[in-house]
Amino acid sequence: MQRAFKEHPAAVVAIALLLVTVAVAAGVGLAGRSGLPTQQKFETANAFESYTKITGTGVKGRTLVVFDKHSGISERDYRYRRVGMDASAGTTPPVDVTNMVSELAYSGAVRAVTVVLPDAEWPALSEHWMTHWDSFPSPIGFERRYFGVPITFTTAGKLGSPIGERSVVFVEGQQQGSYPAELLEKWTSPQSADVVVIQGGTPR
Amino acid sequence: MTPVPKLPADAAVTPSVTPLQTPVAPPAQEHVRRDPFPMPWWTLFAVALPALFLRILNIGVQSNFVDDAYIHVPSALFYLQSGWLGPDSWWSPPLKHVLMSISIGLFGNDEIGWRLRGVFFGTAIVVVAFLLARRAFRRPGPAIITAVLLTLDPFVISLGHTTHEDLPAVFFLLLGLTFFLRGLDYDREWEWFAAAMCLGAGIALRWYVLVPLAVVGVAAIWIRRRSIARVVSAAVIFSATPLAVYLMSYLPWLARGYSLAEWMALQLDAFRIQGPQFAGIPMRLLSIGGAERWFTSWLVGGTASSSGTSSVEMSLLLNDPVLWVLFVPSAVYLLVIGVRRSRPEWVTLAATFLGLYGFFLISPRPILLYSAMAIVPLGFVMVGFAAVHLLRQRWPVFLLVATAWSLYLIPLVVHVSNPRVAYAWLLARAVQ
Repeated sequence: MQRAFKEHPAAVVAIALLLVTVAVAAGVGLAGRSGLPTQQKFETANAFESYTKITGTGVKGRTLVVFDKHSGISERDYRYRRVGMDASAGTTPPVDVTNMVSELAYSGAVRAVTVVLPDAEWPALSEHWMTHWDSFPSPIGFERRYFGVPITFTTAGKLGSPIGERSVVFVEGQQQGSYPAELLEKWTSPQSADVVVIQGGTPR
Repeated sequence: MTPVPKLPADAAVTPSVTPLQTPVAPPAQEHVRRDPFPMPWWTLFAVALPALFLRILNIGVQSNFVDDAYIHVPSALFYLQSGWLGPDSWWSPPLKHVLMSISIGLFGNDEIGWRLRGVFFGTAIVVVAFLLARRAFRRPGPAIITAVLLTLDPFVISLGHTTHEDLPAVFFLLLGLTFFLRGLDYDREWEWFAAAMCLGAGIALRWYVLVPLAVVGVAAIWIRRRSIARVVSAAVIFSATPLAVYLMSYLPWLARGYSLAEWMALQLDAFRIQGPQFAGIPMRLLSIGGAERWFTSWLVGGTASSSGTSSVEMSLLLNDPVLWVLFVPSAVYLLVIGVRRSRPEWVTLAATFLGLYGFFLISPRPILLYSAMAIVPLGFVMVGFAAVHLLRQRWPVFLLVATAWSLYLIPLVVHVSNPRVAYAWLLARAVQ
C-alpha cells in the first residue's frame, strides 16, 4: 500500500475519494429517513387533512402505500413549480384528492410510493397509466417516476407482504371493501406501518 | 516516472513535408515534445474579452424558443433546498442545478442572473479551447483559428444566452482534455486526476461526456500498456474519480432518504427512458433536431421581431453548415496524421470528436440541436489543425474568409436591428 501510494499517489487518492463518497452517500441517505417510535393512526375527512396529518407526524423519507383507486399523482401541480406560467407560479398548490401523493413526495415525507389499485379497477387504470411515455412494466405491475420519486402501480393480488421497513399507509375508506381484509391488516399493523391514515366519511 | 525530453519552443514539431509525402515518425517509445508557444500575460484576456462581449450583448433579450429557464431555475432552487428533481427532467444529471444556484447566488434571481452562467461558461469555453489547441498543436495558428471561430460561431453565442447545461458540460469536457494532454506531456498522474475530476463533472451535467471519458481512458491505458502497474493506475484514475464526482452530485437527492441501491435504480430508469419513446415529449426543438443534418442543412429556430418593414431583430438558434461541414473531414485528417506520426494526443482528440458525433448519430433517442454544443468547440480545434497543416502560411486567408462569414451570421443571434432583405433567405427556413 505504501509503495502504491509512493508510485501512484493519484490512483490511491482516487480510490480513497470514491470510498469516502460512497460512505457519505450511504450515510446521507440513512440520515434522511425518520420514523416514529410508535404507530400513529388517523381517521381523516379529506385529502388535505390526510396530507396535514402525515406531514405533521414528522416522518421523513418513508415509503407510502396507497390503497385507493386514485393515485393522487397529478402533473397539474407541475404548473405551480414553473416560473412565469401563471399567477400561482412558484406557490404551493392546494392539496386535494388529485395531488395528495404528489405533495407528500414533494414535502420529503415519502421517498417512494406504491399504489395498490382494486382488482376491478386494474384493467382500465393500468391502461390509462401505461399510455404515459415514461411508464415501464415491473414484476408486480408497472412503474414510472414522478420527478425522480419511484411510483409502482400494482394490485392486491400482486402486492405481497411488507418488506421490513415501516411505511406510511393510506387507505381510502370507501375502497376498503375492494381489498382482502387480511392484506390491509398486515400492512396497517404496528410492525409494518409508522403512520396509518384511513380517509373517508366525506364524498370525494 | 520517466522524464520526458523536451525540445525548445521554437523547434519544429512536425517534419517539414507536404501532406502527400510520407512523414517521418518520431522514435518509438519516446515522446519527443516541445513546449507550446509562449503566451504574454494578456493573451487569455485578449481571447476572452471579444467572446464575453458577444455573449453578454443584449443578454436581457432572448427568444423563448430554446430557453427553458422556467423549469431550470425552480429546479435549481428546489434541488439545493430539498433534493427535489423537478420540474426539470428527473432523468438528467443534477450538477446543473448546483451551478445554476451558484449563478443565482452570485448574479441575482432574475433573467440576467440566470443567463450569466451561460455567458460565463460560453466565454470560458473559448479560452479553454484555445489552451487545448495550444497544448495539442504547440503552434499559434490552430489555437488562433479555434478561438476566433468559436468566439464568432452564431450557435455557440445563441446557446450562451440560455440556461442550458451543455455549456458547462462542454467546458468541463474541454478542461478535462487539456489536463489529459498536460499529463501526457509531463507524465504527471495528478494532471490526469484533474482531468478525471473534470470529466466526472461533465458527466454529472450531460451523459454524453461518457464518450470522451471512454476515449481518454482507453488512450491512457494504451499509452501505458507496457507496464501493468501503470495501466492499473490509469484505469483507477479514470474510473473511480469520475464516479465519485458523479455520485457527489446526487447527495442532495440521496438526503431525501434514498439508499445506494435506490440510486442505482434511478440511474437504470434514467437510462431506460433514453429510447425512441423520448419523442413523446412535446418539444418544438424536435423539429430542428437530427445529428445527421447538423453539417448539411440549415437548422433555424425562433422568431424575428420586426422593428419596421425593412429591418428586423432576431434571437435565433441556428447552426452554421458552411463552416461546420469542415468538422468531420478535419477530424478524419487529424486522426490519419496522428496515427501515421504516432501522436496519441492527436488521435485522442480526433477520436473524441468522432466518437461523440458517432454517438449522436446512432443514439436511439431523438437528438436535439443544442447537443451540437458537445462537438462544435472540438470541431473548430480540428479545423484549426487542418487549416494550418494544409494551407501552411496561407491559413490567415482562410481565417479571414471564415470570420467574414461568421460576422454576417452573428446579427441573427444577438438581437440587433438588421436589414430584412439581407437575411430573408434564412428567415424563410426558421421553425417557429
